[in-house]
Amino acid sequence: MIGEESGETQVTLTIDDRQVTVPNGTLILKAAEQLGIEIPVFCYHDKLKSIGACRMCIVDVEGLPKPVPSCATEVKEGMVVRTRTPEVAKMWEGVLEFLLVNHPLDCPVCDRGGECPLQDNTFKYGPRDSRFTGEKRHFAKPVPLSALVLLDRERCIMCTRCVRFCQEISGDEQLKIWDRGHGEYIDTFPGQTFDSNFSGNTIELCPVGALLSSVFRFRARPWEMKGAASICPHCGVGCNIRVDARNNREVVRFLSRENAEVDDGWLCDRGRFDSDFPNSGARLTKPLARKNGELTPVEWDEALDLVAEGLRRAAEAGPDQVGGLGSPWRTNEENYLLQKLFRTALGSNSLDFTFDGRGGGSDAIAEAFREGFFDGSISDTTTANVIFVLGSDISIDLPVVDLWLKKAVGRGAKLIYAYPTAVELAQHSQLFLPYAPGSEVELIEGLAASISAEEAAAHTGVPAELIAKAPQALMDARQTLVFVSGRLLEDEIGHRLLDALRRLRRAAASGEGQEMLVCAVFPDTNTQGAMDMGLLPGRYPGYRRIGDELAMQTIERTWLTQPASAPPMSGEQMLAAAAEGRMQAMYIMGLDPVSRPVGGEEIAEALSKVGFLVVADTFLTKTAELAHVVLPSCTFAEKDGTLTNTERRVQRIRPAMRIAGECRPDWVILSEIARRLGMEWSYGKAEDVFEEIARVTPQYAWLDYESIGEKGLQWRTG
Amino acid sequence: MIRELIKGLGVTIKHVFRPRVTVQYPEVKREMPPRARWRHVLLRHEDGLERCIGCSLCAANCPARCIYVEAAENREGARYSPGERYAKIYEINMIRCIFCGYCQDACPVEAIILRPIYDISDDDREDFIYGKDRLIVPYPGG
Repeated sequence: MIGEESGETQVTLTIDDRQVTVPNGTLILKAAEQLGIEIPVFCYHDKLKSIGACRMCIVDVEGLPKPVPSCATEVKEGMVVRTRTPEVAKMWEGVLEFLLVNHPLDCPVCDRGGECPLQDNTFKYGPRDSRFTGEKRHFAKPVPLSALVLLDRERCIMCTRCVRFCQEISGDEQLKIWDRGHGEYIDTFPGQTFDSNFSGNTIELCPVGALLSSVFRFRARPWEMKGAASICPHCGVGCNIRVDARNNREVVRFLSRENAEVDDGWLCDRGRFDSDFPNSGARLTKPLARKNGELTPVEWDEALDLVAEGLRRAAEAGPDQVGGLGSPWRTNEENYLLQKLFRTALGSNSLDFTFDGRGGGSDAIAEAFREGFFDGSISDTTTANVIFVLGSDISIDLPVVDLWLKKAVGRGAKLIYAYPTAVELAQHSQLFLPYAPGSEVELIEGLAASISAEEAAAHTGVPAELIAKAPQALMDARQTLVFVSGRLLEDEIGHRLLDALRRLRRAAASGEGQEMLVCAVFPDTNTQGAMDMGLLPGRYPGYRRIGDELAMQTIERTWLTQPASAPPMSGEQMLAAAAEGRMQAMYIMGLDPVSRPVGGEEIAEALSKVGFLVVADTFLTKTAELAHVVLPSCTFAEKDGTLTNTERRVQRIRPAMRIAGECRPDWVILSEIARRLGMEWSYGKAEDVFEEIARVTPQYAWLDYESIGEKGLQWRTG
Repeated sequence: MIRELIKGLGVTIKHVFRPRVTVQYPEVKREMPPRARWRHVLLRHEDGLERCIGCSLCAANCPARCIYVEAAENREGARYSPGERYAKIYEINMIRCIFCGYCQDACPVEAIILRPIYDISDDDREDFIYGKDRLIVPYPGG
């Protein structure tokens, strides 16, 4: 048992005539849970502090004059608890009857009806009939707390889970209890809206249908939905979600699917509420080809023949004239097949997943990944003594990690936050270092005390006395966890930044038992996976250099043809070549660089000079409008695959709804193109592609769909 | 032999003078027993608002799975039913329906009811999917 290992004392007690041994300090409720004895609850939640407010969980304890709430009473040696006596049953019935006096019983129109704890507990333990004949209380239905969260006060049973979530978990204290006694109600502060990154979690916490999602409201009843265990497609955390689809036709909501290593059971509002895009009527549903200057719908065969022919002709002109752009929003399988297509059928190594310039930083970061420099995990926040964030606004880049950091601070970990402006998390930090952008290297040197605090202060603009506080904290820490922005690492200073981090690691992990873990922050869903799959200039899958004999041999054994060794072009170089009219063909998968807020026009101009442009995407984006052939691909909700999150965890997505229109998953599209280019690919399902990935990517060598399972696994080097 | 012929003709003649069992449908329609359960109708409240709240319980209870409901919210200026929710789409596939009346059983607001309306015939399968336009009783006063 866990308790025995950590040397805690054990307590043996009897619940319903059965003995159970649990660590001292366990709640009766949890002890009963171990025996499989169910005790109904409303206000109690595993992630929140017990308050014993709803009295639903009261049980009889021998020797005590009155029943006690099992969610707020700790076990004692020799305690005799009874949960299934007629007295307890009567008390539970009474509690439910009282709760139902102020509950409207409008279950047929309530979104919760069918998956409602109050409904379930009433069926199991409640009275058969109501004795209440008076008029029920009435309020305006529903009250919008924000554009996303609605409150139905008639249904609220004042368990205060939502209020406690805002206090204990998100820390933004947005919801409060107002008034007292029977007049109590939940509300935001007067005149304010529920303005939180995590407001949607309160909807899932609510044990009745009082808090409602404006996105999901009235969209489906629980029995009409089927859930698929998937991964949130909106940022690099990769929170585990259940994608609920109604009648297999439309995605209606995302629910949290707790993964204790990744999301701790929470979702951010961006992840929870941006669930409607797979249903959009604006989706591409048929391939388009340019005829007489207009994009016209064509059949798949015609479109694929055009693509294959166009790419073949361009590749014949020279491998330096074709290039492919993968995407941080596509699966590993798809990015992998894109690079395989280019490296086999087209003989080109010009592959990337962005047009952004990276000034050589990408090579440094690739090398760092290859050697296993990045070893930190999100869940290391639960053990680290010092957490150092550099150059990332975590609340926006990786919203759920924001909660992990707040939890760590609450536990007593020291948070050192280095960011040019005072972002929200900086207020929770013990040490906030607002440095001048571009001086990250000097800042780290200062923290590692390899330059003096004064010198670092001169470079970074951070007061020397602040910088001087850091080295001691790092020296004292048993475990230091560093979150460093991936954008910085990919930047020109990437090389020097990594060197500085290595020096910091030597300083912070110099003592015995000390360690420093580093985790890169990639805000986009599958940036990590795109890099892992070899969508980096000059790197094969697994960060192996082009021209590396050993790598080429292993890859050749699997691919049965030699991978291209042509000199690669980065996205930036491809864009420059395109602007000069030197790109014969480009294949862009799941990326819309033209819509970027800055520099989109230049990209559009360059792409319009590409001899043959293919865009595979879900919507007719501005980039797709420039293409010669547009291929409609599936969203994440219609296909199988894997995504690799910012902490290198490979997780699976699964299809939740039927494929819209004539769309196809990108891995199918790429296989079809490869077949037309004379390649013998025989992938029946995404899993087949993954098996091949595991064979040619050393970091993925020990992974397969079965071992990844529901919770995902981190890849490892060596 | 003659006896047999007369006997047989006697039966025929007897039936000529008996009351007819067939009626001249569709000019004449047979009266149904009062509790006959045929086609569904959706009822209205006395003030003309729809009774149906779009809860989908009928669809959940339907053994033939022939009911499809999509709900939406009543809004200012577009109120269809009392309360917050109404059925935006309500469809019954009459070919699939087995007229068991479980939908009527499940309905918490007594909105759907099986009436003795048995003339459900058409020449196109699509037309057997009855929408709200055909199911709901006319608005009082037109």
